Amino acid sequence: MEPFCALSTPAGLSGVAVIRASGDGVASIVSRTVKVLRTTGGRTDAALTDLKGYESCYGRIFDPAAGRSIDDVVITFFEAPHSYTGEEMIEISCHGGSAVRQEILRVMYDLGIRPAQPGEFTKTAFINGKLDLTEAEAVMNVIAADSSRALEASNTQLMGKLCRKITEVEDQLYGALSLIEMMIEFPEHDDTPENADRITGILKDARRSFYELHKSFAQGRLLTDRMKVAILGLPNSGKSTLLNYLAGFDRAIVTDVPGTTRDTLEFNTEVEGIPVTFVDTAGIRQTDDEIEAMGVRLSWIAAKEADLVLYLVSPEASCKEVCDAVRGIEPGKVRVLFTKSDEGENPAADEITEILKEEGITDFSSVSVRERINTEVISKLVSEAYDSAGGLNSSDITVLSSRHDVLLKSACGKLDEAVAVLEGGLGEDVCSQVIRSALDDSGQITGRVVSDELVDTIFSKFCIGK
Amino acid sequence: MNIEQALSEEYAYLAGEYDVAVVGAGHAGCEAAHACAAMGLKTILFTLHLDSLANLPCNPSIGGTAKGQIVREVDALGGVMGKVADECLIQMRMLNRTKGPAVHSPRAQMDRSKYSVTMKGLLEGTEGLDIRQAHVTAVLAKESADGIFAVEGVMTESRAVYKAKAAVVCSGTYMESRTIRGEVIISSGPDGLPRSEGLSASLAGYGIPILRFKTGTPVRVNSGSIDFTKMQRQEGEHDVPLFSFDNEMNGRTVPADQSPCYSVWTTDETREVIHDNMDRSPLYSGIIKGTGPRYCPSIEDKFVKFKDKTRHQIFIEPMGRNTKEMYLQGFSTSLPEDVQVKMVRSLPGLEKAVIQRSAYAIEYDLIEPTTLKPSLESKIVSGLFTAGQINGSSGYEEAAGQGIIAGINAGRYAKGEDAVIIDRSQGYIGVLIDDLVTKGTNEPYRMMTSRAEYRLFLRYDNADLRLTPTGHDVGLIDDERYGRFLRKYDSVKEEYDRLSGTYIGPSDELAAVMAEADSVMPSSGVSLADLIRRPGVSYAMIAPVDKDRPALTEDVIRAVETDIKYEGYLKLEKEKIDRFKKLEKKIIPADTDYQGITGLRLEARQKLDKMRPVNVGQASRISGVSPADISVLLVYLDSRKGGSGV
Repeated sequence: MEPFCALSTPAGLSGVAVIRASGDGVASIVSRTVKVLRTTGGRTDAALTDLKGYESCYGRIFDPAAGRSIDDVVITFFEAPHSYTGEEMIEISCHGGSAVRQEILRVMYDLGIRPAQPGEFTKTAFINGKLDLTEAEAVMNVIAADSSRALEASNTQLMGKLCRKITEVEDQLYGALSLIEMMIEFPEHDDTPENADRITGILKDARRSFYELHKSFAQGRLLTDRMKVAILGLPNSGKSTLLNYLAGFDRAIVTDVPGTTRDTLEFNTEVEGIPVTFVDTAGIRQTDDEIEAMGVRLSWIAAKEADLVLYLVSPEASCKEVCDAVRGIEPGKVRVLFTKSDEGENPAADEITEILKEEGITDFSSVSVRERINTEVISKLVSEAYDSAGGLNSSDITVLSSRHDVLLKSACGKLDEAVAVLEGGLGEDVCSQVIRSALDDSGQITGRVVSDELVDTIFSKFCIGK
Repeated sequence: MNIEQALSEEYAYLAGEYDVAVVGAGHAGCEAAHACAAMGLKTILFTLHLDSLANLPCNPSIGGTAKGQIVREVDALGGVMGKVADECLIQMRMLNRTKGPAVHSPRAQMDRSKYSVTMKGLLEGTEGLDIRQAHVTAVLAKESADGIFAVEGVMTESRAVYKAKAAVVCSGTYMESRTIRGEVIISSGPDGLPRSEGLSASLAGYGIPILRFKTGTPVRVNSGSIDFTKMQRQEGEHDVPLFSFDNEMNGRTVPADQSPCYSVWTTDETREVIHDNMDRSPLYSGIIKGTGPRYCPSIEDKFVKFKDKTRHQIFIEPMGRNTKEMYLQGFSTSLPEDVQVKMVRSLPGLEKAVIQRSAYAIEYDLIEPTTLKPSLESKIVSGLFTAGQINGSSGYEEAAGQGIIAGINAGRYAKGEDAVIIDRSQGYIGVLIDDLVTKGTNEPYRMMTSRAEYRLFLRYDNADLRLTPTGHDVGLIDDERYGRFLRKYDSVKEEYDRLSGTYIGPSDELAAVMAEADSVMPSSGVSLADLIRRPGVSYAMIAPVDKDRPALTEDVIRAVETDIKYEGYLKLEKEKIDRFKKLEKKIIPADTDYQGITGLRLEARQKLDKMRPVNVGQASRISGVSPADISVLLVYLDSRKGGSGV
């Protein structure tokens, strides 16, 4: 079976997420993005493919394209046929943040492990004889239920809008295809358009539309999985005060004693209609207190998983402390807030700003939560982050499902290829085939079947006959 | 009616005993009868009129897009259409030459009467085949199980009863047909020939659903009355391979002396004549009730449906070497005869045209093709096979393609062997039959290349690769021809390997070749195959840098060049085909109770129960059956097998 994968814990927030992949050679495919740090057998120099059945390892997942690490994870290997599906399988336990999960899934899709269909793990398990015969009906019901849920989802207003948009683009592509097919089927006919430029134009337009939709998934993910905003800073920089302000009640215990918050605290709310989870963290500092040290580690993880990091700087913080603590967090998602502005300005503010700008952090504001000075900056930062995630998207339609995202991205690639085929003079038959496979991709969202539609399009557009 | 009842009728007599009886000697019937006889079965072929055997009652041409590929497939299986067409062609052209090898399609003008006589002679000389002019009015069958019948023979109008283990009915447009010209309706077959009466009622008697379609044909004009100087002339081409692989491998080529075709455009006057007389069109007055084909609209249809087009192109094609009759392609109509004269004379060069045959629309009975198995055997009457227009198709080539399959399977049925099924990845014949029997059709079905999802693989040049092994297996391709076929593909492989393994360095000769192809000079050593893969570079062009090139025939070169140039895309197509084949191999047991399968949606249950698909692939193509239903079905099938895995 060709390998497929999916998140097997429910979407949304959970401490640890499990991503499963099944199929021939999944371990060797995934090993291309994993550095094994230590196996349960105690080896430190192993590759993922060296694991024995049921053996686990602690390792680091990389994004091969960007060359950076995504998350530290635990991977368990299951040798065929001793797995749930009966095929070779791996299970990746990663951190629960949606950004991390999506990144890992994206990397796996890029490696050619496709998203699983509804009920596919169970179905595969059944087909491989891993489930009891009496379970057959249950399995069939699972598949039926999964697909009817998908159907329900597709009936929502948003899906309807997305489908309409994709359908519009598909219509353009069917138009291009029918121009090509007319040239092929009725070469002697006077309607035969010999207009490659027109076709290329349509293909490029369609590609642009699909690409915009694909880009919108960055927003769509935030909508379905919530935007995670981590509040970071040195001890006693006002993080918990900020969280309590955002929550509207005392979610966190606030004292003047630095290091009061030792665990991460989360609070779900909406900012300008965007679902946001704010995460209050333990202040980042060197500490000998074991419990506090664990809190600091959690702070780092929260920063890593967050879509946006609010980095709080109090008036008394020193330049060195502030700059040391912020290093290691992806600068693009850091927004610096000088807090307690009612208590006076941080004397090193200019120096801090200059150094952090060199690090790549561009956004600095000051705020006083206690006196409610400039507190609206928080919602401004959140909504700006959301807007910029959408990138090129001008269609006001957002892709919410990673399955749709993968299909749209794949369709974009095929349309690029179709243009290249036309321009390279490789023949209309090949070009048509490539456009068809792009339509096969989008058809998995809209439910349109190329072979059923094409002939009708040709007949409705052209006047032909014997 | 069973055979006992037939023989008990007044004047009835037993006229003969056969393995297979083929009813109708059009392009489907001729292939079916020839295939059965060539497989060693005692066969009889019935025709309403022996002088109209293998008639071309519409276009005097064979081939064209998708159709040319089908002719080649029929030939690859061991059929006769390609051979006869090669004998009778008076012009040949390769369509889509500039558009990639998958859609290269040969089309040939035929000498119509020669085609009929040549086919008649070929069949008369076929051992084991009797040909008989007779009007078959009933298929005889006995009830074998609950509502299922089994063929016993056929009966003619003159009360002759023929016993047969299997019957192939290829009734074309003849069953209960009527021709229509304006207000004038005549009970007649096409071309003024007698129609078939009673046969469709006989089929309906077994519970086979009968549908009614409509098609049409344009006028024929005497060329002596045409002023060709006002027309565009279209010559034939010489570098086109013949239809038959045998002829091609023997080095035969198209004749040097070819007849031209011509083209003109309709005028404002044409449009006015049609508009002024639309009230007399049977299509618009409601006289015609049969469903006509969208791809072949009458000229009045074109003006009505495409209002913004003020003119249409008409082709004038010769009907043969020894006749002055010319066919007006694109000018089909069912308007009255007196209007037809005015319409024809409105065309440039045809102002003084003398019409020899008038145009007409024709309505005819056919059967619901979804009552057929992919073998073309009826699900209702076992041993009864149907092919051609009776199954809802249109076109000589589509008929021949079904005819040879119906013939092969009728023969195998008579011998007690399993049916042979050509699937969608093997040929246009497979696409055609699968579409008809799985989806049905609500208009005469014309094959088009865009209906084939594996078009890059279903090419004119490789039809032998796809189907000749099947032809050999069933006994239609002899060992001698099969051996030549194997040797051809051995040389294809050898040459492919040689081109892939031969590397050449930069040279002045290579620079010249690259300049000619407008391609960048390779910076280091490059294989000959890599060069051919470049846009604008061909096998022929690189001859100057390929010194040790062996002498190869055109067909081998064409195959190698295509394999190399399209390698990446063919590989992708192959993967798609492999996935497709997996589902085709999952057989659904005939006794499957869809009502009892948990998880199937109601619509899917009903559709599957009605259609009884033979495998999961076919089930997946039934409209109203979703991918989730297919998953459920797969699990169900597996649990029946005992969960033993796939």
